[in-house]
Amino acid sequence: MRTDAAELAADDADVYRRLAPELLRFANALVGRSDAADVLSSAVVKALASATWPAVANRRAYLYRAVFNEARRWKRRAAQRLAREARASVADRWELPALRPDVREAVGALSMRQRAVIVLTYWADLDPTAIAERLGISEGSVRRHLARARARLREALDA
Amino acid sequence: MPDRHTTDRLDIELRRIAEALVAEAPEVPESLPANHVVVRLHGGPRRRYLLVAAVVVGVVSLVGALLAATRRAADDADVRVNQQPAVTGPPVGEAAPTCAGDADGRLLIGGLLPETGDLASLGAPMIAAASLAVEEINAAGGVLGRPVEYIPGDSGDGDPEAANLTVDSHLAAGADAVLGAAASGVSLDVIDTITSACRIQFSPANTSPELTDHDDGDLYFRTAPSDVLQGRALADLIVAEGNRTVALLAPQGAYSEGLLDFTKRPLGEQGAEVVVERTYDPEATSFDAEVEAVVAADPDALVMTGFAESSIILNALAARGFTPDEHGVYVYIDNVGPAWGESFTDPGGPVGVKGTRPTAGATDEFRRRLLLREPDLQDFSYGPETYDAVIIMALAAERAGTDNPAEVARNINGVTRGGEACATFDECRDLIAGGEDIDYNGESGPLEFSAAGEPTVAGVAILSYGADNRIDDSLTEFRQAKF
Repeated sequence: MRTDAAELAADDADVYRRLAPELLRFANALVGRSDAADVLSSAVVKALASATWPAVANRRAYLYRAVFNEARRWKRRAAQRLAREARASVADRWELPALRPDVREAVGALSMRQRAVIVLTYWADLDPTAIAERLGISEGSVRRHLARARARLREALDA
Repeated sequence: MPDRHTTDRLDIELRRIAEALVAEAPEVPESLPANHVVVRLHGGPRRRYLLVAAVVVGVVSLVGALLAATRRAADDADVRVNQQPAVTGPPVGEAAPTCAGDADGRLLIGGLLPETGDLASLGAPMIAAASLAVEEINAAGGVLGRPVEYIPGDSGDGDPEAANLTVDSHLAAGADAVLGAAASGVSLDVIDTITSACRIQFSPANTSPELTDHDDGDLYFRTAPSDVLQGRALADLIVAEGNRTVALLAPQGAYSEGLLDFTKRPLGEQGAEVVVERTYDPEATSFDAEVEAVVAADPDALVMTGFAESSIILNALAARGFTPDEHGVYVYIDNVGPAWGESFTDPGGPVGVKGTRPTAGATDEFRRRLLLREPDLQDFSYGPETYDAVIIMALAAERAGTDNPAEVARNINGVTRGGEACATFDECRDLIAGGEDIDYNGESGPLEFSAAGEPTVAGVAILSYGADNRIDDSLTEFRQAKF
C-alpha cells in the first residue's frame, strides 16, 4: 500500500519542523556550532531518502540515531580533511563561556559517543535504556560510556 | 588537596556542561540547504536533477518541495528494489522419504553429541537437554504408549572414525533416529550412512547451508537455523544500528564466501550500501590490501565472515584509526570462536565488536529445569534446540502412529507449523490424540519448518565483546530472525 507522495512529503516536512530544533542541539553537542546544521541536514535528507523510512515506527529515535551516525561520519571526514592542520581546538567548536578552560578541554576530549550519552542523560533526561534505543547501541555500552565520561569530567572538575 | 566532588555535585556540574553544549546551537535552518543537498547525495544524476529542479521551481514551501523530491527519489529506489525477484520464504510442505523403514513400536533415539574433545563444553547443554526432553516425555506417558529410549553417543573430536563408530552402533541397536551432530562437518560425514539406512538424522546445532540441499532422502532435519537465516539476522542488526555503508571481508573458500553472500543480500534488500567486498587468502601473513580498502572507503560498518585471522585484520585497522569504538564491527561468533578476543594483544582491541550465534536464549524456567539435572551447567547454547529436536520427533511419531522413521519423518514439518498452537509435549500430544493438527512452538522459538526440514524462524544471539577482550554476557541480546 502506498500513500500519496505529496501527503507523505507534507508529513515529513512536519516531522522536520517538529524535531529539527532538538536534533540541532544534539548535533551541536556532537560536532560543534559550525558543522551542526550541516550534519543535521545531511542526516535528515539521508534518513528521509532511505527505503526503510516509511516503515519507521519511532521517528524521533531514528532521527537521533541518524544525526549521531552522520556526526561520526562527519568527524571522520573532517579528520581526514584537516589532517595537515592543527587539531581544531575546543574553542573553535564550542565557546562554552560558562566552563573553566580545563573543563572545556576535557569536554572536547570526550569521544563523540561519550558526549552523546552525557547530553542525552543530563539534557534530555533519558535513562540508559532509552538512550540505548535512541542511539542504536546496547544498554551496557551506554552505561560504559556514561561511566567513563563521568570519570573523565570528575577528574577535570576536581583538578 | 581540593574538595572532591560528591556524586550529587558532579551531577549538577554535568547538567551544566550538557546544557552548555546544546545551548550554543545555531539557528535552525528553515529548510535543508539546497546546494548542500545536491553535493551530499550520491544518488546519481536523476536524483540530483530532481532535487535541483525542486529548488528551481520555487514551490511555496522549500522544505516541502525538497522533502517531496527526496521522497520521489526514495520512491524510485523502492521501484528498483521491487524489480528484484520478490523475497519469499522457502517452500513449505512435508518431507517425503521414499524408503520403507521398520517399526517395532518404541521410539529409540541415539545421541551423536560432543562428549569428549574440543567441543565437549558445547556438548554439555545439548546432552542435558536431550535427557531432560526424554525424561519429560516419559513422565507424560511416553510415545505410542511406551517410554522413549535414549542411548547417549559421542561424536568424538572431529575424527570421522569416532562419529562413524557411534552411528554404526546406534543403527545396529535399531535406533529410529540419530540426534546430532553438533558440527556441520561431522553431520556431513555421517548423513549418508544414516539416511541410506532409512533412519532420521536430527541436528540441534548444524548451520551449514549445504545441509539444506543435501541429498538426504528427506530424512535430515535440524532445529538450528541455516547460516542464510543467520546472515539475515546479522544484516538486520547492522541496519538497525544505523549503518548505511558496509564493508565485507571474507576468507577465500565456499563456506566463508557463502556467508558473505548471505550477509550481503539482506543488507542490499534493506537499503544498505556495500562499499567494499573482498576475499583474501586466510593463510596470508599480512592483509594490507584489505585494510587499505576498508580505510579508504571508510564505511559505517565492517563485517568479517572469517576465522581467527580476523583479529590480525582488526589490529591492523585499529593502527590506521578504524576502531570498533567508532565503527560497527561484526563477526560470526561460531567462526571466530568464543575465545577469539583473547587473541588480541592490545587490551580493548575487540571492545565494541558484535557477533551473532544462531541459538535461542534459554528462558529462566528452562534453565532451572536443566540445572536440576545438571547443576554445573554454565552455558545453555543449543540446549533449547536440542530439547525441541527430541520433542518434535516424539510428536511426529505420535502423529504418525508409528516409530517407522520414514513415517515419522513425513510428520515432522507438520507438527511445527499450521494448526493448533501448543508448547509442551503433553499438551501437543493430547491435541493430536483429539485429531487436531498442531503447531509446536518450542523452547527455541516458533520453528515453522520449511519443506527442507529446518526452521524458518529462529532465535539468534547477539554477543558483544567487552572489557578483558571477552564476550560480556551482560550485553547479550536475543533476537528472532525469519525468512
